[in-house]
Amino acid sequence: MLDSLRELTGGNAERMQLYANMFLEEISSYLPKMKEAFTDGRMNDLKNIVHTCKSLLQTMGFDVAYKQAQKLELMIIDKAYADELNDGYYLFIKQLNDCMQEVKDNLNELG
Amino acid sequence: MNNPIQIALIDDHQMFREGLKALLNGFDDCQVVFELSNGAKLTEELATRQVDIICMDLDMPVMNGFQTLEKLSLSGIDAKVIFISQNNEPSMIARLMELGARGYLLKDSSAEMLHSAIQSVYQNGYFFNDLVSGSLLQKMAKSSAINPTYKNDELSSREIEVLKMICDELTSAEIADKMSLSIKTIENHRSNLMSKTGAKNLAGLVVYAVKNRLYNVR
Repeated sequence: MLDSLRELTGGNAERMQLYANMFLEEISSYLPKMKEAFTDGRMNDLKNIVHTCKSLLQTMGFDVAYKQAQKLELMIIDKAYADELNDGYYLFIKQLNDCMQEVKDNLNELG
Repeated sequence: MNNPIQIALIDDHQMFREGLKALLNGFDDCQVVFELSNGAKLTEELATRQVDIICMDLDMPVMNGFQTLEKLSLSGIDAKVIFISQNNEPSMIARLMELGARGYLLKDSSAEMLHSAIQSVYQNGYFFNDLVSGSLLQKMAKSSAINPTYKNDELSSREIEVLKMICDELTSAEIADKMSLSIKTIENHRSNLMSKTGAKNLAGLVVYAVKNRLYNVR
């Protein structure tokens, strides 16, 4: 993650911090929205938020979560079976939380 | 128009690019100069072919909109980027504007809106529509991070007047006309406003004006 941020910002600590904070703020705001959309069965809304997360994950170099976001987006588009969708959704949420933790763990190093 | 506005298209969906290219080339004052499927080769292309406006998607493989915007900035390229995305998250739109985007449109925007966005960014440097303004205001309402960095009395009444007109999306020429001043004077006021408020771009100025209650959104 830090390597990706360094590459993105040319090693500028302030910009790295900006992107890290942006990631944390954005993903934290999307998590409850995703939960609500998933619980209410608003799959199109869920797909839009997952799509939004993709660029942030890619920017931060979280490749595994990025690929899961792509997969989940396709599952929703293809109207996958409920079980598959359920697994895909919860795996993605777990990965997002893991990514956030990794960013938090690295914030001191960035500062 | 003698010299059409030179445009680059960056989007990973070829069909969308083709459609957009046909649409833009149909306008007398627009010409698509080149197109790419992601931002990775953009700086190389810009080294050989100059463009006035870059119309870019946000989510792309290899190098997305964020990464491309940052790379342009690192390379010292002052590119005028308009994002055209299906992403309508206000916080994301506000972020991109803060990072240096000049406009933001949804992919289902009308041809007229796209055309006016390109003209506005080309002529004025920015395009504010309801989507962008609303996103910036929502972010301000939620965030306490944007604090005034100076006292209002440091701005002259003339500067405040100019600031209000900027918020009303008037061009320098239109402001000059209204105030019976030269365009150069207005440009000076604009430059002073940026310097005094610490705003990096017009989006920052608008944010400042609203935050400090110098401008009320109708």
